[in-house]
Amino acid sequence: MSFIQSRTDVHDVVVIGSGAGGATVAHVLTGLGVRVTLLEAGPMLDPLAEFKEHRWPYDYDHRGAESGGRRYFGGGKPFGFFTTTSGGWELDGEPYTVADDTEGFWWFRSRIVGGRTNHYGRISLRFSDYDFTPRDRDGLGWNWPIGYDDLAPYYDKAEAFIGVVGSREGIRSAPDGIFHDPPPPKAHELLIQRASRRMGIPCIPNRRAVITRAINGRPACHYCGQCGRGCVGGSNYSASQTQIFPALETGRLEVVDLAMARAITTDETGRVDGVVYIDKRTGRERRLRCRALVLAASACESSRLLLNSKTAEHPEGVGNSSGVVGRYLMDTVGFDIGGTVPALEGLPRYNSDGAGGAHLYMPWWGWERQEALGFPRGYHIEIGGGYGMPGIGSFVGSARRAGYGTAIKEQARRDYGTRVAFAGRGEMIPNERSFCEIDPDAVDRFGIPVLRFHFHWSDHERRQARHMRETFHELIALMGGEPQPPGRRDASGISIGGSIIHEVGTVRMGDDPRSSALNGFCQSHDASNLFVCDAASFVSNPDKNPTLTINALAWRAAEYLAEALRSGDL
Amino acid sequence: MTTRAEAGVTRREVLRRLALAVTAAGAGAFNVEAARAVHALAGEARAQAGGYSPAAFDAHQFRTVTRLAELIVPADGGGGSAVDAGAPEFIDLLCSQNPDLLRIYADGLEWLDTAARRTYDRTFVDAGDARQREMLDGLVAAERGASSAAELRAGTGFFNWVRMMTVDAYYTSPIGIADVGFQGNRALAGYRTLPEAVEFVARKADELGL
Repeated sequence: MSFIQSRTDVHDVVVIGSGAGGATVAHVLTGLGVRVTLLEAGPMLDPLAEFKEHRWPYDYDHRGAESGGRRYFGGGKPFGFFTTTSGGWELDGEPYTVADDTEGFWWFRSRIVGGRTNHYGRISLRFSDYDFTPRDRDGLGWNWPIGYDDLAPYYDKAEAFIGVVGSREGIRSAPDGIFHDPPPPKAHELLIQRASRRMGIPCIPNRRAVITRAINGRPACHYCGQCGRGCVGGSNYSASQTQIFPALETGRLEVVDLAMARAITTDETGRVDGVVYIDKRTGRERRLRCRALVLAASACESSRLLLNSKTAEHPEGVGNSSGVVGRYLMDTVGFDIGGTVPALEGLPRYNSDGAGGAHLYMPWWGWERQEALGFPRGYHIEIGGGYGMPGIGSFVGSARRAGYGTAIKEQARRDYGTRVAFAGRGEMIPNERSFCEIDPDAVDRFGIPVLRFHFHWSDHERRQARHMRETFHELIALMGGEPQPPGRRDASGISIGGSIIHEVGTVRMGDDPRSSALNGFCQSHDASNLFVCDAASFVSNPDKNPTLTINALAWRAAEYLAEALRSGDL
Repeated sequence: MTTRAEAGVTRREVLRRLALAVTAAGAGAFNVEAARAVHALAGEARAQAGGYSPAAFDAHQFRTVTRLAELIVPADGGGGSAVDAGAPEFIDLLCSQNPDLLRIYADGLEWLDTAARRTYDRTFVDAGDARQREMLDGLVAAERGASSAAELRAGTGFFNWVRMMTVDAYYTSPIGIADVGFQGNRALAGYRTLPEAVEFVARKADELGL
């Protein structure tokens, strides 16, 4: 390989990706005195220019329908004009492909400092102790090489630093953590809670990465409920504002933005010695040399980079002597149902914005009677409702029912605030038919070979989704409401693979180098100075949204890496 | 497209927002008072449009869309009309940016006038209030599958478009947002759920036997 331009100095640690994993590594390492160079495929984030916090629909002539009314034609920004999503399901010039045998797979990519943490739901759940030993429970999948006790101190550190609201409940499926005081339940949530208690389902304060008292120079939440738009003041967790920006202030972090990694290079001993990337500003190829490399580009993007890095010492791709890179791709089992609850008609109006997202949720409750349920593993339930800010589409259903005239206004006043929603988020069992690989026939605009996805739900997931449907119907019926059909899904009612944006696995950790790529410290079995600190290391995908566990695993790996650098092991 | 908000951002607002922000340049001093000021300043930036010159529609089309908006969401005790909320301008603007949308409206408005002429021998806007309502009643009946209105079924697609966009324009305007009673998008020092709302829900749960 020849390089048009190379930097000759050797960087201590190069990190690829600035989301939850990469930013945690950058923050922890710079805090321990290590110099870090971070490559991000997108631009630097400017919250003042990017975030639409506090804006009204009428601040824009298109009111949120976007230019030419794109939303009316199924287009526009994913999750709406006002969210701060940068990127989307499709990126210009950066395709991926889906294998013929696969019904569908969606891949959401954010190219910007902070990645998907700028807009994510911020639900922050610890794995349970039993989540680390799934094979021992039901003979399916594989156990993790680490246990809850290994990770608990890092959940503590991550929660204490990023800030998570929650309450101590003593529920085994939802281990307690270091919490900020949670906001009180919203009115509709109290009704849902009464229904869930009738069914024996716990409904407890939600756990989200929002702070209700000031920490680390970040002000307490001001309850505008607009976390998804980005918080200019940084009262919620985003990898950019919470970790990258403070790390920059240490003077030990250099961010190289608009840098698209193409390949990892290795020396004659098989150790990683650098990374080749495309400078998007010039289109030129550059190379950075490093003592250690941390991949945190998002699970599938990290797999892609490893598989695209075939060297003499690593003919199957760097770190892939086991052949597992790309394998055992998982998403979360998603099943959503909304309902209209007439009992909420006439509820006094009040400001229900709150701390963004729901103030209550339902952790999994059936771990002691899995066999009776007829499916393995569990799910938690996220809830929606309340007096949201009116926007494009909010009252189109009311208008259709009313016809036209003042009847529309009367219908809208009656309907407002009567809609509730339930979203099941469940565990998928890893399977042999769900993986990503390099497509031999497609490259992106940089000439880098792209991923081809294979994805299949099994009967385990289909039975779980059926249970979600029955549970949600019963909850809605207990409240005297009417269920409405779910949104995007495949024929069985489950979400399209990848669409929950919890894609994990593909570079899994394990004790055996023949069947895993990383050890319990996210360190490559094949190249000791290579770490993978995003969700690629996941062995299973419990019903706990992955970000907090990415934070904890990355924190633990970063401390281990810092010690190895200090002691001279690397 | 330059938005009203972007065009109207004041130097004061920029300074305020800089003082609040956690950015790559560092964290500012944030407090609830300052957050409230940002919310208030975001409001100041909005200006009401004066005389509007349609960008996509001719004068007759714009008059027709305006009359439809008035009929679909009229003023009542709870608030003004969709015309007060800027629905005709909203529809015209988006049509001016999207030939597919303009085609839907141009064809739909032509269908409306043709149907009005056939029955009343004049265009929709000139047919008068009672006949206009008669046509809309017929369109609503047609979309609900009432057989007597079968000849209007061809117009229900367009009627859906104009109703959807009119309703969206109304409920995304200050008067529509006030109409349904949305009270959020504010900076608060603390969050509480209105006690009367909590009591209401407890009573409903009791009635449901929960």
